[in-house]
Amino acid sequence: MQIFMQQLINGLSLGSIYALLALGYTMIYGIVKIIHFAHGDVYMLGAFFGYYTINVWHFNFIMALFSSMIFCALVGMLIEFVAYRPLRHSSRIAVLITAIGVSYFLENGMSVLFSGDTRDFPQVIKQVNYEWFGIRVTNVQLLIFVTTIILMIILQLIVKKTKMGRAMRAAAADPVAAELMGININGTISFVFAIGSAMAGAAGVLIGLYYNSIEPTMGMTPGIKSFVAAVVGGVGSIPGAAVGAVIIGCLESMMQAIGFSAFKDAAVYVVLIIVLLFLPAGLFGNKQPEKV
Amino acid sequence: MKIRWQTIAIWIVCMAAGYGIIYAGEMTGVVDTFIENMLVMMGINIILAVSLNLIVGFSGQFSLGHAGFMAIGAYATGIMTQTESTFAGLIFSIIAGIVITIVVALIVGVPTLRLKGDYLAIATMGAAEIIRLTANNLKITNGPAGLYNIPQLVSWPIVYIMMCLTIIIVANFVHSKTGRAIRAVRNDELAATAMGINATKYKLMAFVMGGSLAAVGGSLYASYLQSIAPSNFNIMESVSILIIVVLGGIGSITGSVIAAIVLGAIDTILQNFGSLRMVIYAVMLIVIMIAKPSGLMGRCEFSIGKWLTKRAAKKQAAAAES
Amino acid sequence: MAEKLLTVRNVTRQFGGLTAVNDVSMTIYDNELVALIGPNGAGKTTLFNMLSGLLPATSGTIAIRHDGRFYKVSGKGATSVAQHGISRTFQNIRLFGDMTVRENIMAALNNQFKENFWSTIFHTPGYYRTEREMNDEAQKLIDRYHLTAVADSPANKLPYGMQRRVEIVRALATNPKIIFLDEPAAGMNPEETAELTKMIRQLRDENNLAVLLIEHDMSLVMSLAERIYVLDQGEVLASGTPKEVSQNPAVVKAYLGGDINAAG
Repeated sequence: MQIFMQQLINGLSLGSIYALLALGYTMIYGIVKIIHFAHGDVYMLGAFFGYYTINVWHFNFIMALFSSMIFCALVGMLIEFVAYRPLRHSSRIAVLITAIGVSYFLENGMSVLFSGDTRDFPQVIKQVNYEWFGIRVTNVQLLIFVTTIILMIILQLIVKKTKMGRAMRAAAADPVAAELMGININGTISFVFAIGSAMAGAAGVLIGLYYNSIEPTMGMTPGIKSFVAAVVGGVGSIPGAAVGAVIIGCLESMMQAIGFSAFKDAAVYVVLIIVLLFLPAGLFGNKQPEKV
Repeated sequence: MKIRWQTIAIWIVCMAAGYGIIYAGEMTGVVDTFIENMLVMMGINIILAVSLNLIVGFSGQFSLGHAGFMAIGAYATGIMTQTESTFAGLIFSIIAGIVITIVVALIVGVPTLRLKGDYLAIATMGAAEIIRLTANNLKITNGPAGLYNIPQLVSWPIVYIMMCLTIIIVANFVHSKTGRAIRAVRNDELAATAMGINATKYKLMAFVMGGSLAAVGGSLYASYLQSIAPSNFNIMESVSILIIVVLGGIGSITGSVIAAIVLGAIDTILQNFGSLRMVIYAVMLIVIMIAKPSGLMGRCEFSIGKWLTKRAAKKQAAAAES
Repeated sequence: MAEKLLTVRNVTRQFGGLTAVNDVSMTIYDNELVALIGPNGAGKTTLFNMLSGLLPATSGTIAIRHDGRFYKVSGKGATSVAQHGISRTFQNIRLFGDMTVRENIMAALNNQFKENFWSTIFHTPGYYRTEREMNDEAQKLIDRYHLTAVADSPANKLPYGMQRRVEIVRALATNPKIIFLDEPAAGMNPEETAELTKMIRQLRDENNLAVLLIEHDMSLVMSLAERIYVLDQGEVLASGTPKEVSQNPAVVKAYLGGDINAAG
């Protein structure tokens, strides 16, 4: 039981990181119907930016987090403007290939500029372990939970309570009608990319603290897993992304704990396929039936 | 009728010419091992791209799992030819690879081909990853280290012939009653169903056919390069093949062939740029996609048969006037 | 005495709390030209979708006579339904856009010809024979319905009226015993409508077919239909000959709104 609870804690930490990424994927997909392949690399840039600001400018954690989020928001908006907007009316596969191009560019660009070596992320927060009923929780893990929850609450508030949030939901439901109603589609899309990328940036800094190491291709696998989490939860659904991410995170931890860590990645895909088979639109998604 | 024979004759001449050119190159030493490697990889990529185009372009199924089928063929050949390292052994291994692929494609296809668009993409991606991770963890496949010292039973003529066969098979498949049904399903699945066409059956046919050809490509890959590892068949490999298809033009076999050749050449040229290679490649990709999202050939096909028919029609029109 | 072709018994369709079609019964006989009219939202297209197998009925049975026996259509998928003698067109024209008119028709001929795997991938003489036979069959239809000029144009490049014509001929190519036409005259001007009327009549006369059409254009309905079913709020309000229906007070009140000569 203790092991189970311990793994649950670890899983929730991992799941929180995945949630921050999955939320970005799901919002972006919801509004522009694109798999933002380069999202994982924005996360990587967030980690590197945090590394840079802490090492060179001696930022503390909060400042590193905020500055990383702002930096990534700008990067995200730039990517949308340069790579996705010109293809807004082209086939989805063309956009996907461009997204992959952007991803390659970021990963290899970083490798060229800063070498592909793994770096140690500076430990701005000294790790403190807490023990409750035999379960170990570190302060970093608590920080991850708290930060993630706060960001998610802010996101929910933006989406539900603000004018921009309403615009987002309208544009996601029917872009043409939204534009006819006077909503600035381009601005709304940029905003979505900004928020999603900012959360990815936050995730990058948090994972740097948690796992202590960063390298240019660190975004690929978490990116894919987070996207799987978003699909499992129902693409376009914000609560779905969070739930999906927690499921995936816990699954990964459990598999590692019971000794099947070689299969932890495969397990994620198996869950994906099973969910898609029985709930084609994911847990919280809604399938729009085709009108004849 | 006459055009039919003329078309076949021209195709045979072209293919023989291609073979002859490479042969001459080999004999004179113009084509050294390095260039031969590049040509063989181009040939294998043509097989992979044309077979993926059948699934993505003609059948309209967004599959991101092609490397999985390639892996099945590669490992079948890698494992079987180590015990039976004769040409017959190679043939058996290719057949075994195809059979396994058919089974896997059916298992994966039946439930997932119901899904649409991006959902299908990640489902197929997931399936391919499961295949790769299985290879990564089984003893018979030697885990992450992979197989090496696979006997080289494949030389460039074999790859060339298989490449030609693949192009012929896929082109014929598409220009047939079955091909029409597949294209109808892609155009409008609901309407096709209402006309009595069993959509699932035809989607599966394209998926299984495309996968089987990819397995052949994988077998050739394993036997020529003599070593394979699970990392050769990851998501990036599936993506690379998709890039060739998209760049060439979804739904254009000619496009896939041209793109495979062009990208293969670019890849070789870029070898000299070291780590900048991928950056240049990435920028190129983005620029080309924004400039011509439908790919080099779009949906156009270069068809000798059509060209001959047009010529004959022009001649008839000219004769009628005089 | 004409034989029963399609029987619809107590068919109901519910979407959650909404009853779109309520206890509808109809009988269509061989070679009949029947129209289904009613205000928008009356449930006509929902009924069509159930009859063609695209939508399952919540309750009730639908059966078609095929090869002498009655075959239950309700609960079977659209492919199966289409293979038992029912064909249709759609409210929003659904052609195979990238394919030529000829290819559209040949696609619909799919189930009437056989092609084995080897002849498909190696283009043996068997392949050429099948292709020639399918092409001949398609050509007959193309010539008979005046599509010769556009036979090799991509379907999505044709003008609207022509597309509608192609869609109907494509439906005919499946060799059905009954064709459902869903608002074929939608968006057509009077000349196009007149041509369409001629075509539908030709269709029915030359092919020993029954035709069931949904239409709002009353001139088309009154000149073509031998019998009419009136649907309102998911129920059959009236049925009979055009004369009977146009004089039925309930119908006049609910739908025609007075003088039938003023409508259309």
